[in-house]
Amino acid sequence: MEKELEEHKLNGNRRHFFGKLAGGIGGVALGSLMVPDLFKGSATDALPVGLKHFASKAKRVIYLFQNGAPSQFESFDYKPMLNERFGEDLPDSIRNGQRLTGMTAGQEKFPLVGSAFGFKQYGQGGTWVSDLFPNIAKITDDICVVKSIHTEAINHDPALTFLQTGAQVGNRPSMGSWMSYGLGSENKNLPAFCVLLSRGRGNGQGVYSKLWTNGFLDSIHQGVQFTAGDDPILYLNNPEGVSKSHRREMLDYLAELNSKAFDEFGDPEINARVQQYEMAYRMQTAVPEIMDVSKEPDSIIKMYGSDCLVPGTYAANCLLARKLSESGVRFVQLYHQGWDQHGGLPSEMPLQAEDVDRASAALIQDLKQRGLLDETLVVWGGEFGRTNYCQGKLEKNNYGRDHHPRAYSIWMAGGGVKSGTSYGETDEFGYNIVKDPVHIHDLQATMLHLMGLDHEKLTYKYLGRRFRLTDVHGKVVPGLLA
Amino acid sequence: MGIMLFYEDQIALPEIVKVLGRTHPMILHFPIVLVLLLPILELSKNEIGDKAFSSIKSTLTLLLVLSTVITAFVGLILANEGDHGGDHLSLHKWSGLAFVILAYLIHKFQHQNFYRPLVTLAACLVLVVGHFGASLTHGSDFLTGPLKTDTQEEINLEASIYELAIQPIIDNKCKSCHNDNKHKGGLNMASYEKLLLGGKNGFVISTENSEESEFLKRVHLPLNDDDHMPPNEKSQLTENEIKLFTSWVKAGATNQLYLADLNTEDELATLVKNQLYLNKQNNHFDFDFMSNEVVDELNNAFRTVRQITPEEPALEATIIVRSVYEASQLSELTRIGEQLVSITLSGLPIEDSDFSTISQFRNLRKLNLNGTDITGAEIGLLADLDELQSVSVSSTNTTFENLKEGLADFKNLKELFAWNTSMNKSEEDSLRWAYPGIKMNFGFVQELDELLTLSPPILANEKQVLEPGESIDFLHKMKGVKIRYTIDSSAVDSTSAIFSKSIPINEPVLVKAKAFKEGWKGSKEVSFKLLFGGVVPVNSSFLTYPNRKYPAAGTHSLFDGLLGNPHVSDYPTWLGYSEDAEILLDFGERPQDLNTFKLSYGTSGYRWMLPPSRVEIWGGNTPEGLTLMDTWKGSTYTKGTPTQTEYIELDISAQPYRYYKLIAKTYGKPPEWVTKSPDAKAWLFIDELFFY
Repeated sequence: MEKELEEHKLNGNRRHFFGKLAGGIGGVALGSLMVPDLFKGSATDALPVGLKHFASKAKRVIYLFQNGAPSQFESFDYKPMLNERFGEDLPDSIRNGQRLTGMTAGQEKFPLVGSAFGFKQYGQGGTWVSDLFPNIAKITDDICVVKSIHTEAINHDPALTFLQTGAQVGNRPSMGSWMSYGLGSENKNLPAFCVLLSRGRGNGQGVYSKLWTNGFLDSIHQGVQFTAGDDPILYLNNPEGVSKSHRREMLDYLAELNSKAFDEFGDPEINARVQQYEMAYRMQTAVPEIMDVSKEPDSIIKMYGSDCLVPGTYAANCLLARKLSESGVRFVQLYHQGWDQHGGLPSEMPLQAEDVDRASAALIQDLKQRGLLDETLVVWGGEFGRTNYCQGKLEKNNYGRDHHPRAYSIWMAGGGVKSGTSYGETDEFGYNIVKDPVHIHDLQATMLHLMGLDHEKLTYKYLGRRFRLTDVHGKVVPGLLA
Repeated sequence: MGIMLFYEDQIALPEIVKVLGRTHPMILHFPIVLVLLLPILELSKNEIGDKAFSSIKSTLTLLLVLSTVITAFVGLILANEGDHGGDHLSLHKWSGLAFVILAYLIHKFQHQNFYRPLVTLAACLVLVVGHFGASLTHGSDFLTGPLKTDTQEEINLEASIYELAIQPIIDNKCKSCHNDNKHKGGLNMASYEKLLLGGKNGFVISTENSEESEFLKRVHLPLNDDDHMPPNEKSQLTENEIKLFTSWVKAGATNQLYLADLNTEDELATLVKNQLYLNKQNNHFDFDFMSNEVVDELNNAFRTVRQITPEEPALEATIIVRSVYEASQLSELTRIGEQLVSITLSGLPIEDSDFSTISQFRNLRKLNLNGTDITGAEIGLLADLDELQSVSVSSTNTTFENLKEGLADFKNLKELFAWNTSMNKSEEDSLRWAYPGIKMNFGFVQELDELLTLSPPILANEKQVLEPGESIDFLHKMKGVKIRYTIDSSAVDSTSAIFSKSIPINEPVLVKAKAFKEGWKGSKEVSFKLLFGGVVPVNSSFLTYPNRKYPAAGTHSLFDGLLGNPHVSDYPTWLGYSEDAEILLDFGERPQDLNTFKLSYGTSGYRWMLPPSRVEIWGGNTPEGLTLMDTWKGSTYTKGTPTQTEYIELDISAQPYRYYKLIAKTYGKPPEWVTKSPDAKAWLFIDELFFY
């Protein structure tokens, strides 16, 4: 065997060399013809991290994540035909082989069911909004409802992870971490990426800290969770008996030790750690100022609803999100749980809507009256949609909806978003998209674009390849831009 | 070919042939290469040998003729499509034809003396033909493009609206395909007169019925429509440009309309100004970059200074945290007074005297003073800032008089945010009236008659299971709220006791509470079942384990005094069982005198969280020798049972024992109204156990 290999090597002569060379050059040339940018060289390396790639209006994001997947049929995607065809089986031609979750895969029939709640048109754009959201209905001129979002996952955790990190499996950096990495911090006393959790009265699904992970990015880009208790950021305050000057002294000595460790090992995580200690020290001053809602005027309390004074509610988190964003926090991520209405939708969804409607609308109005709406991008929506047919037994006044990835609705507002419009359409069954589909990667690309970042250039090299939030997909959706 | 050459206008070719035409840009490279090979062949004549030389030459020249003829032929087909036209096309066509003839002559006279001059001539001619061809596809100024300098054109406001705003957009976004040389779809948009002529599909602008113009229809089609203009892959019109086109066409689409003819409030006039203004904004900032050292020096923990984009020198700055603010934080920014275009000072103790510092930021466009200590007294100092467009003074004590006087000399101010200031409604209105050019936002107008519901009071105690004699407190975060309550399970109304100090609880009760405040609707009534903790066993152990999804904190959760939330199945204090629960409780060697056993559990039909079907309590002095003491039998779980925490009480007074065993059987198959699924199993969510 060895002999043959040796011979094979020796048999290569000049002719072979040129023949192969020609083939190689031809291949390269063909490649450059088919992919014009193939040899353009990568501008990525030259782009400074922490600056926008191009000028844009939005500087900050507030993501009002409606966790559990609110039904589009009872919120923004008005489908009267589903009411007319109540109880009829979903035609196979519409379902078209869509895979189902384990919860409805065994169902013999897929009876169509329309919204139990009325719809009206609002604003100059005639945006359809259900009666469950009377306050969001008042701000339709400031928002863009996207009715054609589609995703790849059909269960909560992968879908959430996909939306947040661009991949269904965990451990990639979250969207907020990417923005923190791409744009840097506006306020060195607060994390660039903050996370606020609240829980509604509907059927809930968990959220896990992997959703706000920094993945392979520096750990300074990790989301920091604010909790509802007396200590909004756990372990931020000095323990009893430790004074501010003691803490300062301790940190100074610790930094000295850490810098020695850094000189020895050169691990950048050591410096990241030192920076985080310093930020935490400064946060001891900055956070109480942010958390103090006592100076908010009565009109604000009225706007957000009196729940905004009860820590841990969605309304309180919306108010806090405004305050954090106003102070320069790049990305505020809210999660409101309880939107998973597999059953009892007509009784649960009004409770959920009641909890978020007023505060969501108030946030937009509040940003607007402070002149901040044009520099803040607000996104409201869940991880996927819900089916147009009933899960379980269909009754006149009771039904549930299973998970549906093919089409659902979200809305966006503020920084550079084309407001007062609806984008995309679904068929009259609300099952498939018929116009202007927006894939999750497109949404991510568009959000980055609105923040002045090119989703193809915002990369991080890890394990030998460059990673992006949009993986190798995603297109900016021009129709969503003002 | 001759026919094509002279009568191309009269020939309509089938679609399939057009594909042939489109190969022209590709195969034209063959004749170029071949004609350039000929001189090289001449140079290497001596190395090759006469015989090989003449046979190669003969082949090459023949190939040249063939490829040239084919190229010219498909070229004529392409020209027939009519997307191109003008001088460059005819120059390309005729010089190309000359090249065909020349190629033929080269082949014919390859053995003659004047072969070499012919080849030289052909090599030159191919450059000429190529240049005209390239001008057609890339535009005539493509070659010299980089040599041209960007000259700032003075905006001449005397010019017609067409010249001022419409033609520049066309030049930017349409003209690359619709010009004197290339007119796709037969349309040439190089000038107003040519635009009026229309294209192959007729007029694009109809002066009689301007709103029906094809021009507008195409622009408004969805992006992915084949007829949408500009095509999907080309640079699109901005929203302002589309509005401007629409408004101009509606106004009659004439080139005789002047800005001076229009009322300043006219939509078209505003759009034109916007457009010109936007053009101006897109221009580069005409100041220099600030050195990175200075920017770095200005950055500290409470002040951020950043370049907005890598290409442009404009900087933005934010100063934060009121409690550590010092005046130097602002005054030091004068070092970047030229580059600073946006500054955020919200929440800081900035005063009216600071306006003189701010007025030194010459190129400032956006200023945020929300929540500062200003009254607006010196705001007039900012009138010198020509670029200042947006000012926010929300949540300040800014007064009407100061704004009315101060804003008078502002030149470019577009928007003012002044919510929550000292101004009242009528002052706001008159300010708006005084400055119609400034968009003012005085906050979201709330519907005055709308009464909102207060949030209910909160029980301040962490646990609802109390020690005897412990007291409870209510909490409401809103100032001026009255909390009324009852402890006798009667409904709370406006006459119930007002909570003012801790309420001692001496026996298990149901307390109810409601919050009230002037101008608000009273809150929902909330009720808290207050229990006393019982005797806690020395040791508890699971004989059957809860499902691993709902383990709570193990047996500890049975006696921790924390009640679960029946709305939330994964609430961390629930012990969730999908099979029957068996729990053994050991009260140690000295048996206690116990009378009552109590079990609390959660019910919620929607989550299959159902009551048990049967509960038994066994007692005995060894774990093996237990006797049944009391039994509770469930009834059918009926629809409409609220989601809540419930209690089951059993009698254990017969005799004191060391060991007690709880057996709680699950509901089994859920009732049909919960689920019809044949495999469904009811869950039992155990909360707390009490021994009294």
